Amino acid sequence: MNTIVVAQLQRQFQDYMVSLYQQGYLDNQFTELRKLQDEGSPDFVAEVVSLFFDDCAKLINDMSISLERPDHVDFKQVDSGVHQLKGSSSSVGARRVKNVCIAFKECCDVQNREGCLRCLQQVDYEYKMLKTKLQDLFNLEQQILQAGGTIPQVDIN
Amino acid sequence: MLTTSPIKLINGFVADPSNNTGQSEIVQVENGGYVDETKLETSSGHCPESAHQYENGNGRCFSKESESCSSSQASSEGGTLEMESELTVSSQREEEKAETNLKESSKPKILLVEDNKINIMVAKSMMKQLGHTMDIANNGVEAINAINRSSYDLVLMDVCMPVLDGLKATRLIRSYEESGNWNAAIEAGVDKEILENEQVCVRSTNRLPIIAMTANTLAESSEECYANGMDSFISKPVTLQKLRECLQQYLH
Repeated sequence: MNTIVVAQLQRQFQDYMVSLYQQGYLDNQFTELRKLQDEGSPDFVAEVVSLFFDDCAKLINDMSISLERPDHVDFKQVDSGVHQLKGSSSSVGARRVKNVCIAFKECCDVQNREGCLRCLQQVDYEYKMLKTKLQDLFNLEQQILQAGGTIPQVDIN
Repeated sequence: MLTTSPIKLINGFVADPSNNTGQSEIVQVENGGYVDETKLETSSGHCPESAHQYENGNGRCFSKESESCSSSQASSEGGTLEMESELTVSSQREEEKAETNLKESSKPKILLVEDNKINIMVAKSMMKQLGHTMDIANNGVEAINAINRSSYDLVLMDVCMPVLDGLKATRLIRSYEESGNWNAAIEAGVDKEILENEQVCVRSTNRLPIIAMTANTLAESSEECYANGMDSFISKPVTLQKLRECLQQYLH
């Protein structure tokens, strides 16, 4: 095992993780998820977020259909979708996604179709952005493990 | 202990005439202001409405020892002899069931009522780390059916769910605890057949701790939770610490 390479990778991983929190992509709930990862479920975080992203895609698709026709918007369906999305994003620590959902809900409450469409676009952007970022993070993890190292505990505070 | 919170019973009393013991246990509370009764019925419209009178499926009544004789008397189709043999067989079964319940009672039974798959995954994993498993129900109706089937030690109840939400479900569960029957739930549209065919024989007399999991919006405020019979609440997102504290407080 090349200890220098491992140390470098570990450092990279730590810095990247911290930056995700600092830039507001993730919050403490993500830390909670990491606590649940152990020998018994070594891929727990990756599995949960993967499910989350699949869920995002589906919900966003359904909502876009509901919002499509200006004369016939199913705000109840949209509200239900936003509610689900807000709940899941909150549960996994996807902070930016969750915050868009809060604004999204407000647009829905007043039946503002234009506002909803903007929020929909934004939530789509945010979840895809987070997906990319977390993929990079998981790749770093894999590199560390392949180089024979262990994933460091990252203290966000 | 059963009547700590101001429960609003949906119809105020027990409808089933054979259930005369049940009546004496009911606390008559004001029924006024139960504004959303119709909403309650329509929202649980997914469940088939009970279209016929309760045809006593014999052994059913043994869920409450005091009621056993009166109910089976009222409904028995056969002669006295037949009824007596039914009583003997059923009490034997009741004893066996009680024994099994005692053996199983070492491990606390927890029910999670939640519709969001991701929330379920996270909560289950957290509970696993805390050393517990949980049964899952995806809405208020499933929760009621689960509670009817088994004795739970703790219920974690999401507030916002389709079909029947957590607040309403809790009201119906408290009504069941107060009255000893599920008439209120049946009235609200919960499937009578399922409730009556799968009823647990030995019902706990302790109040079932029901903890709300709330997103802390106006509609899910802590006041709303308490008003609907919840014992406490956990604000979302759920964390290990919040669950740990909840278990410490409500599981002994």
